[in-house]
Amino acid sequence: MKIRCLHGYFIFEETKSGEISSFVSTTGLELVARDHYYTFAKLAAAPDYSIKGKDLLGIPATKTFAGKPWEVFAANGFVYDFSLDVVRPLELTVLKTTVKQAGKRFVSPGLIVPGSITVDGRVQDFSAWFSMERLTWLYSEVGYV
Amino acid sequence: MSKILDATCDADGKVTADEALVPEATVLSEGKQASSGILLIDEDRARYFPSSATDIKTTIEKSITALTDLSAALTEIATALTAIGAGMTGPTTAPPPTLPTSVLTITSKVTAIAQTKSELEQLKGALK
Repeated sequence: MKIRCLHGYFIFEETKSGEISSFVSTTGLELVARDHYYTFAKLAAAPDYSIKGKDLLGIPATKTFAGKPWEVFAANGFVYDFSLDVVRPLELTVLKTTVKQAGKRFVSPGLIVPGSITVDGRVQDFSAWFSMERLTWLYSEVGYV
Repeated sequence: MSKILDATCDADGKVTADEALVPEATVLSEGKQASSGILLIDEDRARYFPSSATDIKTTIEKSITALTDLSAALTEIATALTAIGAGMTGPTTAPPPTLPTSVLTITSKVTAIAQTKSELEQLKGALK
């Protein structure tokens, strides 16, 4: 399962057909289909534009902007916290986590909540996959702000 | 990637779309009267385009009214000149002047104005 977090917006893509059902049952994450990928149910309703002051998935947008949902998130400075099912400004995330290098990849205890604080800064973007054999989250890229 | 939304603009130039004010929208018109149109958001740029159909319809209607008034005035002038000419008499040695041919020109212009008015009526009915 290929996972991308773009400016706090999640995209899950199967690398093998039928992988999604075993991923969902193993991780307990509930995903829904959107376009050519899967994402969290709340993000499936993420609009492709925002108007400053108008509600954007539960909070007032900070910018008037049109683009892909993750570009709208980036423009507004928002991220999705799947642990609480809320969208909020990146800087209001108070969770802490660790990201350690392990060879050519990185490991973290779980799926990183965007905005989480690490020693390298707040996590904004990442590319990851979930190893069904070892039940671990592996990261190929992690971007900080 | 851009987004197009139905929008309105009031006489103060305030744009509303999706039931929200969009103060940063650039109004691409005179914006001196309330209008309806579309809001185009392209990344962080928002532009409001009013529908010009209402303005065009109003302009056509005013033109038709002006042509109608002008046509009526010219007809009255031609009629008056014709009446004046018909009333003029004089001796054979000093006959009255003939009615100037320009009166006929006035009459033909009234016909031309009526044709233009008809074309404007058709244009108004064909506004998209």
